[in-house]
Formats: sequence, structure tokens, C-alpha cells
Amino acid sequence: MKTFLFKPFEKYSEKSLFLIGSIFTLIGSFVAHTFNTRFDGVFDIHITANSLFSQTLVDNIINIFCLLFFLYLSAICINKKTRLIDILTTAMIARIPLYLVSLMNSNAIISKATEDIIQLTNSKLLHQIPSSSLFVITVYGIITILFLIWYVSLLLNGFKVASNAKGKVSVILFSISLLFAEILSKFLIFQLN
Amino acid sequence: MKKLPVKCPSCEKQLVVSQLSCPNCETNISGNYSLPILLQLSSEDQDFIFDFILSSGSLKKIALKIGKSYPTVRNKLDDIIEKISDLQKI
Repeated sequence: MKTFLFKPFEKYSEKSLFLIGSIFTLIGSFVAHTFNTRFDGVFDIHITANSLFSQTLVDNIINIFCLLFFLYLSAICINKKTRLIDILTTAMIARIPLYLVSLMNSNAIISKATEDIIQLTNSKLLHQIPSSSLFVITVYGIITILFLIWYVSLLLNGFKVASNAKGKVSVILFSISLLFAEILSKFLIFQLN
Repeated sequence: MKKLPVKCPSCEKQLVVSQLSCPNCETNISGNYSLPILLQLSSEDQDFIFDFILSSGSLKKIALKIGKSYPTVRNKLDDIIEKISDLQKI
């Protein structure tokens, strides 16, 4: 179970991972569109008023491309035998937890709780914020953080398997890659909107 | 089959062969012979090399056989190459 959830790259072939990753990218984009979520950056999940399927799909493609580009550069520095397909499948599979997060906005529960809190905060009526809204946002925040940790651990495990990375230097390169991927993805998505 | 110990259980240093014997005529040879490099590897690594040869050097075939992904198997081979290189330096 641990391998399935955190280290699928050690066990499953690149063909299976690519197929599953592609299917989940499409499903994830559709779910994000249905529940009004945008992935406007490698590490971003935002609830919006409205999100088109084409927007969420492009978000995901840009995020996968940015992760692929920078992680592959780092992986090549560590091990020249690293294959592009292994980094691609890493980026695709690792994003699945984020797609699951967007499911939490079913019935616009997160949108409503956020609106309540923003409106009452702006009106300086903090004491009138319903405890249910605070509870929903707190639970959403905690679950999102946990799923982000799952996402990063999948990325790191996939990166290690793809490049046979070991030691501190590889973790530093991995972290720098994620930082650059976040910057580039934010820039590209912002330019396209 | 008994597992050949390659490391000293007391100090973890590499063991050497100090005696060989013929099971047929019971001749004993004493000396100080170092173990071949392949025998100095762990039994897991030796099994991997065995599988590698039996699959004609195809990592994809080994990956299928042991139920691991291709990069995992390639990493295992790279690690063994590194271990052999280190042992050759000693």
C-alpha cells in the first residue's frame, strides 16, 4: 500500500504510469472545472467563481511541462542516463493528490465558507462569522496541506527513482527545480489569462 | 544452501579464504586468498547479476520478472557497478 501511494515509480512500468497519469490529468481538469478550482501554478489550488475546462486543462499541462523541464534539467545533472519519460510520469502521477483536493469544493461548500468569512471580515463583523464556515475552511486547509505533502513526496520519490539521486545535493537541486517550476508556471498561466 | 559469509561478524571487515578442502580426498590447503569481487557482494546483488546474465542483459526482462520498474532495475545495476568499482580500488 505504501508503495502504491508513495512510491509507484519503483514498481509500475512507464507505460502504465503514463496512461494513468494522462487519464487523471483529464479527469482532474474536468473535476477542477466542475468544482470551480484553478491550478494556477505548480503549487497552487484556488477556488474561483468560474473555471472553464479549457483553462483547467491548460493549467495542468503548463504545470506538468514546468515540472518536467526543471526536474529533467536537475536529473540530467545528477545522472545522464535519466529518461524524459520517467520525469514526465513523475510530474503527471504526483499531481493526482491535488486533483483530489478540488473534489472538496462539491456543492461550492468551500466557496460559500470563504465568501462568508471575507464578507464579514471586510464588514468588521468578525464575531458574526459562522463557526461552521471556520470549521470548513480549517478542515480544508489541513487536508490541503496533507495532500500537498503527499504531492511533494511523490515528486521527490519519482525524481529519485528516475535519476538514482542520493544525498543532500540532489535534494537541493530538486528544491531549486520546484522553485523555478513554480515561478515559470505562474508566469505562463498569468500570461495566458 | 548455506550463505557464504563475506564480512566478519565481529568487526565487519572483509573476510578472506584461509582454508580450502577437497571433499573427495580430504586434502586441505591453507593460505590467505582474497574472495573474488563478485563473492564480496551481498547475496541480493549476486542474485541480481545472476538474473541479469540469464535474461541476456535485458533490464526490461528483469523488471518484468521481479515486478519492478525499469529505472528501479537500472538504478540497482548502477549501484552494483559502483560497488564493484569501489571493491576494485581496494
